[in-house]
Amino acid sequence: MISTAAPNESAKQTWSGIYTTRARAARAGLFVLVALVPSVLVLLPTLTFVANSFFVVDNGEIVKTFTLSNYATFFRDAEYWNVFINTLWLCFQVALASLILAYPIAWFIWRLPERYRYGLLFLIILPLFMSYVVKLFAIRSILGLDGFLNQFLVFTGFIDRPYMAFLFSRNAIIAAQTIMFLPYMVLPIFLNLERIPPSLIQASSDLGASAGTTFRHIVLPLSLPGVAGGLVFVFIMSLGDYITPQMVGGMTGHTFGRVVWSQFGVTYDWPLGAAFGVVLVLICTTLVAGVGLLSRQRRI
Amino acid sequence: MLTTTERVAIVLAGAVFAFGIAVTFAPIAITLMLSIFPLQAGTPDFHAGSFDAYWALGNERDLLEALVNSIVVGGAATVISAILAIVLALYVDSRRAIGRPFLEAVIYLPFIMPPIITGLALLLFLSATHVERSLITVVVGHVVLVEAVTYRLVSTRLGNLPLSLYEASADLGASSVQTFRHIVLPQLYAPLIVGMMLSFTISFDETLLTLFLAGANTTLPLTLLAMMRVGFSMDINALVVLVIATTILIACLAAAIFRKTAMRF
Amino acid sequence: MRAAVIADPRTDTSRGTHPDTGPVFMRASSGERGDRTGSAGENCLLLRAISKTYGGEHALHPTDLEVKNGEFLTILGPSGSGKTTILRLVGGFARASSGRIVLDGEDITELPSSKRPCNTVFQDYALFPHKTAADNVGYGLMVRGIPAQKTAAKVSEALRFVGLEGMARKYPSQLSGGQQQRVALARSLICAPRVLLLDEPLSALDADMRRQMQHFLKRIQKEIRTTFIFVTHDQEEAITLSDRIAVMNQGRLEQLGTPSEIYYRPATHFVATFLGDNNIMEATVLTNGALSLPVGPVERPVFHGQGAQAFWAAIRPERISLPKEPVSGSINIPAKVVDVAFSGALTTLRISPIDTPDHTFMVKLTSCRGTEEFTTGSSVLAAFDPADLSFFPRKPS
Repeated sequence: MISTAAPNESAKQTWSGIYTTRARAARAGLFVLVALVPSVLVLLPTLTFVANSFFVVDNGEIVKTFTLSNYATFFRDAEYWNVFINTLWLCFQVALASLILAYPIAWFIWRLPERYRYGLLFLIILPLFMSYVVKLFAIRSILGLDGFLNQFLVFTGFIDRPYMAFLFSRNAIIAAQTIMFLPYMVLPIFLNLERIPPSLIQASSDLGASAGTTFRHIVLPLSLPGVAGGLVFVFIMSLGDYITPQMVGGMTGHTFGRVVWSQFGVTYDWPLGAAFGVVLVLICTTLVAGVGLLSRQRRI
Repeated sequence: MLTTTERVAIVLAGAVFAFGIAVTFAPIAITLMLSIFPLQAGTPDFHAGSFDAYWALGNERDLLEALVNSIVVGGAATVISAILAIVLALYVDSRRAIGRPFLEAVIYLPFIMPPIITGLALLLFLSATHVERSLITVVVGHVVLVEAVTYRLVSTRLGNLPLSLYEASADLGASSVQTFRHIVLPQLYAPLIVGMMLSFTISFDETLLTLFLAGANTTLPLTLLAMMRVGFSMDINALVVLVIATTILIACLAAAIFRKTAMRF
Repeated sequence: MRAAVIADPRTDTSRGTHPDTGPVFMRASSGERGDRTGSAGENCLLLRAISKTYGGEHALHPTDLEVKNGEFLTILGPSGSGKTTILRLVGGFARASSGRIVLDGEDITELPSSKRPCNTVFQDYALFPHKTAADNVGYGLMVRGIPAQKTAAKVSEALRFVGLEGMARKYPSQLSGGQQQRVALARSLICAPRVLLLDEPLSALDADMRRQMQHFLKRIQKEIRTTFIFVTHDQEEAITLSDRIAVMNQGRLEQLGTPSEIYYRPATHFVATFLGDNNIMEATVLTNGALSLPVGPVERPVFHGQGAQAFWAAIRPERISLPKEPVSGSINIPAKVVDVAFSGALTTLRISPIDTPDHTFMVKLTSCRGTEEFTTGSSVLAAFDPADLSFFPRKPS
């Protein structure tokens, strides 16, 4: 073995040296073989879905002619447009509420001695493994008219009789989704905080900064990519969740996700639903790409 | 050396942490309570507590069928997605791989997009290809969804293996098959197991995507969703407690394995 | 918050040892108080029985150390010797388990790092990745509430001082290792520290850059005459840079002295072997006051203060010569060459005395035509002057 110094390099050269058309074909064949299943299961459905958004329904049948009428409906119909804007605002509120809770939590876990840190992190992540539907039901039974929150408030004398407004309100949606998505917000912030080298904190203190100044100028700016990641993650989850708003939001729960869903159930206008879906995808992609760009711009 | 400001900040943040734990664990606490104490006019009767609901579970035919469906779907989706993930990860990690960005985009896309999108895309695709909705289509949907998890864990571990490991093995006279068998594969057991555990718990609980694909069939989350309007009986609460306890156990195991193997690298 | 900043002794930026001779950016700007000269005697930093334990283990045994005003002191030792612990204690990043730290007569043991008039250059530089070079350098002034327009001139002056004019707008990730090092240095110096702490700052640089930075550090220290405490495990670096060296081993201070004292008069077996090569022999004091070495007696030994009966005696390899004829006044040892290693300027031989063949000696000769004649097995005469011997205590066997 004389060439042990860089066997990888020499191997690469040998490969390119003996490349034949057959070898290249074999390489392409292997790729097709490996890529086949994911392509069929992800790519084709996605293409079908996008294609459908350009079709229309006529007499209950999908007509496969190219048209932009579904998108025109979305932009022209004030009702859809209102629901859409309203939903974006709702999702933003959920993301913001999650952030307000999650940042102190992530910071607190990060500040703990290492031996407690991961245990408590695990504890805050654990609810993700509890049934979604059960959480929903439990939140309903907490917020309901004869729910535990009303009972507790009546019992402690804060209110005289059960108060309806907890359930089937916009705030109920925000509360429910915040509770459900909170761990998704804590995790990226914590992981980001943990990537800050301890020497940066020490250097800031060494240069005369108080704890508050160090937080404002060093910790907070360096944790912003995690914050942005968490915001986008929760926003997207909230945007795609079409069950929670209905179950705890009542009349206020008519969100864009529900509108999409109802095209596949009640109204049976699949192309319109697909077009609305494309709009959702575009928003999600823009947000994800935006965060990616943001964190690449920061020089960390 | 903490200053007063820092101390106050830590105490406040600790209070938020406690609040966060309280609200995120409240659902399981309430379910546990309602599986033991019957409701009397909306209030749990704390004098009539018993574990009878747990013993009566055997009579809940529909519920048990849904539970079995969920386990079968979860198991199938986990195994299939794990095989796919390991093949894809090995391929992408190999020197002869082409189209890596394409493959990773296809793998991660369903996980990043809201499940409603993946669900309706698959639904439209099934309809276009005239495939009847069944538990099999649910499995397909779940495979697409959870594959990203196992793939990510396996490919990260593969990427972290230093090149010198392969070179050392080759230098000592091992063939590439032997190197894979004795050096690479043992490194992949842990991420594979962790990935499969996570996959199963995700699949087992999946609701938003499953609703699009199940057709007339049902899984445990779908059954629970249907029962939500009428309220959960004590039996349901009992079952849910058992299911959540099992899921948490799996999560703890996965975390323990992950921690143990993460130390080695 | 505001009050704390005003009360901070370091808002007075004039506490550098020589307020009127240092570079402009380290002096107080007009309008600030500039009456403190910091001339608190010869010693500026005193460590009194300072110690640090982690979970019952002594990282640093109780240690006394006096650092003189304006000196370049190097703490030298292998990893785990407690050298970084001392630095962290002085910097305020670790709390002393016992003992006091006194700076200019003021006890700073309980002071948080943000209130101590010492600044640290970290091993990994610890530059803030989201701030430009200029913002990094200006950070210490900014957190003291000095407005940006006042600091701008000082910052660019400091950047010029470390040779980085034109790099102000660059982010740390756009700078080379050596440049990052200079930013870290400027960032600390702009705070006009009484003591600058450097934690193995050159260990991440390649050999060439490392030598360059050594010269640069030495030059800067001469110019600003601020006290430097420099931690390293590289003995050559320590000898080149320092006014004094403190050698640490296993949490204890082994010896404190000038480089030549440390090198030629090692106080302990550890110091004798850690810095450079050494030939060490057992030595015993005879009844007539003479000293017995394995290679022969020494009539009038020159001791350095030890009162014990059992010693180690050490002779540096370069202090042994291989003359043709016996040298009078020297100890002459007939020997055989065991092996020869040519390494450019020096030729290193291992020789084995005829009478005590187990006691091999290392000999370093300046390479010349004569040294080429020594081959393995050839007979030689080795000689050294007993005055070149150094002695340090040995536990009697």
